[in-house]
Amino acid sequence: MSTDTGPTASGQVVEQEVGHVDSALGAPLTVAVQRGELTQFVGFARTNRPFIVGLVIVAISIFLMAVGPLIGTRNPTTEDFNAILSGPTGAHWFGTDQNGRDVFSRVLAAPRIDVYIALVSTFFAMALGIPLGVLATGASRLGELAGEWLLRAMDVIQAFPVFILALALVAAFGPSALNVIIALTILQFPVFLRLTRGAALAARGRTYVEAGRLSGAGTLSVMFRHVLPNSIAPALVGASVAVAQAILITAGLSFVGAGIRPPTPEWGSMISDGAQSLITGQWWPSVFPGVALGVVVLGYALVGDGLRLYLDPSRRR
Amino acid sequence: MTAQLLEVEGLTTEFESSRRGRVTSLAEIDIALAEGEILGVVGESGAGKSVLLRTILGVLHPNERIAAGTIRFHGEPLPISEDDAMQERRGATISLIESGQRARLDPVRRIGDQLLDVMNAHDRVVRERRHERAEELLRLVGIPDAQHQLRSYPHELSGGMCQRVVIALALANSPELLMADEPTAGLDVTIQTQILDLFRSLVRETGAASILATRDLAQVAHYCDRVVVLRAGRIVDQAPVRRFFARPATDYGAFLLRAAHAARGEEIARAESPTAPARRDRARPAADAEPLLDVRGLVKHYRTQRHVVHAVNGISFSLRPGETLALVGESGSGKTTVGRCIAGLIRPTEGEIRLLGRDVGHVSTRRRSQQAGLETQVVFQEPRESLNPRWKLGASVEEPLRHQKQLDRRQRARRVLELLELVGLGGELADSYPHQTSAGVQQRVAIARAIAVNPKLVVLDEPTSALDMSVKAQVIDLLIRLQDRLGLSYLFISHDMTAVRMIAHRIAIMYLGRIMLHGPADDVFAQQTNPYGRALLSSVLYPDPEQERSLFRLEGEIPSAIELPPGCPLATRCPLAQPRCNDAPPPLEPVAGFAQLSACVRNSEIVQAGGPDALARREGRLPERDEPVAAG
Repeated sequence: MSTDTGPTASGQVVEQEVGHVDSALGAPLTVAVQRGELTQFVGFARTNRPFIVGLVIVAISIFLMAVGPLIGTRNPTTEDFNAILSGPTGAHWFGTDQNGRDVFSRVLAAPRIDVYIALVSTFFAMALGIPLGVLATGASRLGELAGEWLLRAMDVIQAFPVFILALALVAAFGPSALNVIIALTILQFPVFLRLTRGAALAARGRTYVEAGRLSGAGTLSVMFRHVLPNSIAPALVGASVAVAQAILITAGLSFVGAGIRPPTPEWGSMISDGAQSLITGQWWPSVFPGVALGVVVLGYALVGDGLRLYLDPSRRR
Repeated sequence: MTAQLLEVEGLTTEFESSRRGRVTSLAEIDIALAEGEILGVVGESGAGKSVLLRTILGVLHPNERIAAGTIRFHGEPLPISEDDAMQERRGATISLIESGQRARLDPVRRIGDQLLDVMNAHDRVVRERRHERAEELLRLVGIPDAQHQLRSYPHELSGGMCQRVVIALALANSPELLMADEPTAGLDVTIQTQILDLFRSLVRETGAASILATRDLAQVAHYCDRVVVLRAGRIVDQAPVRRFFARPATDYGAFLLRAAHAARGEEIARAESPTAPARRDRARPAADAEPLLDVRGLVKHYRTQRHVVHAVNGISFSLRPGETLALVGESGSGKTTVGRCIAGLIRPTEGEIRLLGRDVGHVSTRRRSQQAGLETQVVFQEPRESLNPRWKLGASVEEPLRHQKQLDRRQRARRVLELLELVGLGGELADSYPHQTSAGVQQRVAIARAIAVNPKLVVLDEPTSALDMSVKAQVIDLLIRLQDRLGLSYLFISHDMTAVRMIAHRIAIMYLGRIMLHGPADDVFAQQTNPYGRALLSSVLYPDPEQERSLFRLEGEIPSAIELPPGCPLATRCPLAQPRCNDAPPPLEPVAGFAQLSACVRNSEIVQAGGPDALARREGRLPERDEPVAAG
């Protein structure tokens, strides 16, 4: 199969001759087959240490979300009044809190709430924001007008300080995991709408969209089959940053007592509860969940950065 | 033997690619360049031309490194790195002109300041003389009103003028080695020859040695002394220009030259491929056939906030079944706008577009496809742009079939394979993505999509200008075969006269939204009765150093379409212009004794004198003798 491969092609590029070509001019028509997407991704990850660290952290957080409550050394909600605020020991690796609950087990169990809420709310925000972002580019005059109004509505949502708005929403709906998810979805979907709309505006002007129209494609077909697949990348990159932000807001809401209530293991409320004993020198009930929170948020942010680099066409050769 | 200014020995470079691993970009390059010599570096895209020039300049991509070899300048090895010693030479003794005009200039700084920057960075021009030198440079590169233009910003200048400024920047410190990488990419033919003429005369005047890297063999034939052929990072041929063009020593050199000639539409193409029908042998569509497409008085004006852009100003033509009409002109001539109106992508401001007798000009694309089926299809300029990058190639070809809803899934799959085969591609490509294939393959796929639903008319909007010379000839060949087999009519929009010459039955030459010259292709190529047609065709370079080139050229640039000249659009640039040319736009009239229609008030005078050249010479507006051919 491979004919005539020059030095540029001597790497992993395989040139193969395509059948049925009348090479009237003596040149075989060659098709360069590039490395598969997965190989490329692995190659990229290997040279990008922070990205790997981020991926590992994200993987651990998702693993803990699934099985965290089961793998701790104790039951995370069992109170042991014989061991209140005991420091880190062999029995309680991260110590216990003021109710005698095992901090280590609680730190491991918390992703069941924090990461879960963040992932689910980000998923809903994307499911809402991405299609609306494509539609907001407006194909017709009427669509354009509707798109304008939609954007102004987004302005209103985004004009509020994020945390205050979350607080207000949860206060209105009442504190529960579901209501935190709803609040976060409302907060985050304008971000995805904007990211997608920007990319969709660029994609809409591309030649393949015109070619699609000439092929007889209707407005919706153009939008969802041509424009959408080509404007989803910024939202995907934004997703991991959004997850990090959502974890922070979830923890923050619980910290001020508006989100998840104790005894449910949750990093924000753990930090908040532990802060009271911080003054008296018992640092472990708040510092361990704080570090866990920081590491997980960092992990998602690193993955976001890495994805942005990976998808940036100017970096690829 | 003269002293060698630049000696490159055994140069090998490689780069680390996340997609393809370690790739050798240049392999064992040996080049020697004497003072005052112009070396042409040719090769198809990806051959390593740009890498070579940038390596000599010491500007490497971060992933790139020199694996072996030396570069000597005046016998001294060049420091091959980004260090200060190299920084001192860059832009001073060695400079590079790249393509991309405006992108090479800083958009927020005045031209004059940018020229001063280059001189200030190196102490090669006396401080007191620098202002004077900046103005001198602009005059040198042919920018009118140099003193005033020093204060302009890049966006105030046209692409051609920006390219002149880029050249001025490269010349500012009187370099000993001047390199140019596709210096005319993206410029119109008449501007291209202006820039290349300028480049050569500057090299000759300053005595600098020079390297011109290009895909276009014709440029090498006319502007270089020696030629080096690169292929996949290796030198595969090296010869003096005359010898190379007379008899290339290597197969690849011969292949490139054949491809270039084929693109010129010579018999050579037919000799190499007996199955390819030569244009002139092909049956011409019957002259009395009912026209498929009839355009009358087409006008398209774009209204921006402050201006009206007069893109198309009343043109009429018709196209018969099975015929190819080439719409030719420089950028800004309105040819693409005409194509878009006819395809239904935009609606004309005025005028009628009749397709098979029905007026389709004012019907939306969607309605048109519902009512009349997909009778008009378009093949676009950038094949990669015109295919959805997230779709497999097969899905792109299938799209029109899917919307037509006449075939079921299995029938469509079969039809896709059939279509791919028809355009010379294997069925396995249906499962590839656009980025996995070359531009040539992508353009074939775009053609397959265009003919999928048996259209009557295909608008070809510069379908070959993004392609390498050899691929271009193959695509044109394919288009001609498809036309013969399927009876398609083509509206071929192009500024590439070599492609037009191969494919067109008739030619309409446009300028500022009007047709200036219209006639059968052979007739128009043989003799141009219209000044603009003459100027356009005489600036076309062929890959032949012996080509006689007329001096009948246009001065300056195409006027703005916002404020049209009151009379003949060409009056501002025409060597034959008279005061009366400014009265009213000349009508397109038959020329006595020719099969052409020409828009010029001096038609009869031109015919009597024996052509635009003769008339201009008689009026003392053209030198008696033609320019001596090529470089010597």
